[in-house]
Amino acid sequence: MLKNILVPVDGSEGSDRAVAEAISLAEACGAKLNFLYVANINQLAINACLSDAILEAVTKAGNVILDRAMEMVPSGIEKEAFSETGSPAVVILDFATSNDMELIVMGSRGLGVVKGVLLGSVSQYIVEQSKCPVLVVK
Amino acid sequence: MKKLTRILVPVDGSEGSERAAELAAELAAVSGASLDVLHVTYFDRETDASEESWLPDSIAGPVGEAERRALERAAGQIPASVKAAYHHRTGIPADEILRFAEEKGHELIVVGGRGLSGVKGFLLGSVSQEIVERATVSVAVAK
Repeated sequence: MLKNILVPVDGSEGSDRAVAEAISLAEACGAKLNFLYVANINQLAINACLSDAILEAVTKAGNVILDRAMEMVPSGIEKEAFSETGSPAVVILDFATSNDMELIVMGSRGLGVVKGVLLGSVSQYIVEQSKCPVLVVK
Repeated sequence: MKKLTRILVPVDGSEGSERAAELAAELAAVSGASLDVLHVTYFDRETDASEESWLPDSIAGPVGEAERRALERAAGQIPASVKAAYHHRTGIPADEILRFAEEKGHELIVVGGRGLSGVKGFLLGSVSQEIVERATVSVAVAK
């Protein structure tokens, strides 16, 4: 059954809970965990005016979040971390489709408008538009 | 995290809820959880009746029949190896589903996604939507 689980992470408490729940599911069914961090940056803005320093800071922040998720996974469970830029909901769904994910596990709310990108609105969009099942962790 | 021991799957006899039953059964199988299948109707034969129902059989009858078919359709997705129980409630679907989950202590609710017409069943996007938003436990949306 489940072979590939996608867990979008943004470093919020909700996404931590999603990681924990995804781990126990992966453990139960022998699935691989795919963590995805999406930096909410417009590619055009990157090309046009974002300095390398800003880009580097954003990348670093994403890596910290991904590393933390990866470290939560007990040995014996297959795992991989991915980092993308763009509009989170759209990037997450594209990733799920093009990588044949069978389940998306995510938090119900993210960090809030100012702090992060995995908002309620992102979960909302994904629940509605996803082609594969979505587990919303409370 | 807490181990899955009880999973709730509300059904309405639609294709979406059939997929929900299938997903719920899969999750129950891998986690060893038991499954509760719930059907909610707005009313049934007893709703108005202190002594005798004024609901004509032509209305109350089909409700029972639709319910039997909805539960059967869900049961068809659940292998015998999964422990499943079937339940019925009357009331506002989203309210009853959430109340039932709270009473029984389910750790997970599995609902069908969108794609149903308003004519076919109550488990519309709107009911799933309300459950995703209001549930205090995790909700899986089948596709």
